[in-house]
Amino acid sequence: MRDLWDGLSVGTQDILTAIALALPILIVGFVILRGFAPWPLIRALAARFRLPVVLFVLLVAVSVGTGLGLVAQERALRHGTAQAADKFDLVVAAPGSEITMLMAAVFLQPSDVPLVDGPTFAEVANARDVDLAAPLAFGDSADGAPVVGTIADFVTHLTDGGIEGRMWQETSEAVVGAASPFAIGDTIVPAHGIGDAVEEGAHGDLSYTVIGRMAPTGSPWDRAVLVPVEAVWEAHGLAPGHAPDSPTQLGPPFDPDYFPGTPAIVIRAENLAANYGLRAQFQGTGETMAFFPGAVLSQLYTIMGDVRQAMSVLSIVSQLLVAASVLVGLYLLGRLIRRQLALLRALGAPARFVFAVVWGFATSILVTGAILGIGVGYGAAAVLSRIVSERTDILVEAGIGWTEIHLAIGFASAASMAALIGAWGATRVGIVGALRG
Amino acid sequence: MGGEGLPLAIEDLEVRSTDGRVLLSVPRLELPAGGTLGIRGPSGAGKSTLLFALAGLQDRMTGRIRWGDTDLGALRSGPRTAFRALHVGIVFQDFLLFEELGPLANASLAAMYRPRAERPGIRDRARRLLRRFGVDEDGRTVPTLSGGERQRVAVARAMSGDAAILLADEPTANLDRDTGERLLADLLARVRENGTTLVAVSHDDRLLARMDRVVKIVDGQMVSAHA
Repeated sequence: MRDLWDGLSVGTQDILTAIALALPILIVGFVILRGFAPWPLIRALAARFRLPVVLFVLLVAVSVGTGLGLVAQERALRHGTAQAADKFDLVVAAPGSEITMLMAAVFLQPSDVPLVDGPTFAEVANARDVDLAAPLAFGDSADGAPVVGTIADFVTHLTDGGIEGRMWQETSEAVVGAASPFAIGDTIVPAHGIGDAVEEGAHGDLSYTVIGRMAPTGSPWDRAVLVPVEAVWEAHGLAPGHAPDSPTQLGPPFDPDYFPGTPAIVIRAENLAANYGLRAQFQGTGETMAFFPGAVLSQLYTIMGDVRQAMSVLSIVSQLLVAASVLVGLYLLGRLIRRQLALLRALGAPARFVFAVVWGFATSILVTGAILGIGVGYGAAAVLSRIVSERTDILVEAGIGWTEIHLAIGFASAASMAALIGAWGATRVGIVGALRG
Repeated sequence: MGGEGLPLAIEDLEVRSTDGRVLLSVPRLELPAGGTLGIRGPSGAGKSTLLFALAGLQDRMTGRIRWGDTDLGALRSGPRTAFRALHVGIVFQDFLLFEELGPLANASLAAMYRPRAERPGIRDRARRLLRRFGVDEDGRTVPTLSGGERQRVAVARAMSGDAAILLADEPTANLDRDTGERLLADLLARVRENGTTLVAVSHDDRLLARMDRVVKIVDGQMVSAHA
């Protein structure tokens, strides 16, 4: 059985799960409604109580929608951050906190981190299987956007070669991210520091000319200004990375004796297995630490997973409360129409018909609410995504997936089963007593 | 289906309240198929209780109520409901219509729960009855109808199932004199035409005067029965 299930495609599993979740409502609906045509009456009741009915539907839609929105948002956030870290196979840095380094190197969050020195860089760059070893130099900013020094190959790697304009050829040229406010041809004057600690004019009359724009990466790098690493070193009065006999060289190889140090080295190996070898080689050497950003993110997701669990429980509890209050509200409405229900019985309608009217009425409200809830969830997730994307520059695109559809169906199914109790109660009312009002 | 009326035979009928008090006692009462019976008496005497008992709606009931070959007292609730659906039409004192449904939908209410095959017949009869009673069948909901129109819709509902038995609880009580007179004429003409057995609880002398037979109930006892 298990094997059979695992053998199905994910799409088939999703559809089957959705059907399984909907089965209670379908089976009960079929059994209860079979041979009856109660819908005109249900519509009439809905029209008579239109205000409470609309209110109940909205209540269900909002509670289901916020639950779905949060679940969708959380998944999109994980997806977005993983996507942003995708180009960072392996990072080597001076020993310290992996999370701090991850935030600095991948998400460009300013932080004070120790540097890797020239000989160590050379050792990393010259290690077997290393395809790309890019130094990063942080610390400057331009109009609040980080200015990052690196090498041309890394820019190419980050964008898969998608650059509008061209790559820099000298230290005064810059390539900007896709979402940067700077246009090709603009002149950028960098300030020392970033955020609150910024020091305008600290670099004298140093400026960059924008000569290229990167394709979108969906990461904070989209707002960054990328310049040759040599330019950053020069601006800070550090060694230029190369021996004095080659003053105009840009990019590797760097001369260890003239290498001022880098907070992080982003490495791409020739193959996946080599990544593990390199990590083992540079992890815990005393000089360096090496980590996979993806793996560090996974650890974070594990923590977020607990938060998600808590969120799910909260959202389920709130949905249960809403379902319960809607059912209580319907019970009160049912009291208002008990004479009419008794009338139906008196006219000869079977108890099952009264059951069908009451259950059909409640279930219509719950199902309509759940369907609208999917829409509300989509809207909530879209709004949240836009806010998160704007604040973090991490491209977060929340969509409604099968998980959300399963949740909505599950809610409608479970709540409609609870509505059976109310419907059963409605058939227990004494006919004569109710008729006499 | 019904059509031809069913004869009624009551023997030793007693209905008790929850605390065991006798609410109604009818030792013997008979009515031939197609006969009309008026029930009169002061308020609270047990007239409606008798009517509900005749419909098989009354709980805590002993004795026998036989409609033709069927003893309602011997039936469980399910078969009693089925008997009602098939053979009994009821007109209530205060109409009890579904406010958001139009006249035709109200009059053909039974089509919602009767078997599919019977639905067109119920709708047809309801339509014809409404036309005959002079009520516009569609376009309006109950709140816009006059009292007389509502009661005629209620009568059409009671008759749309082609029931052999018609039970009416104060059918003219909420109507002005002329409207009541017209409804009564419509109702009786239809009942005689079909040979329906009619039992009507009423204070209305005009109605009672046109019944084959009238019984009086006081304090739950049948005190007079004259043909």
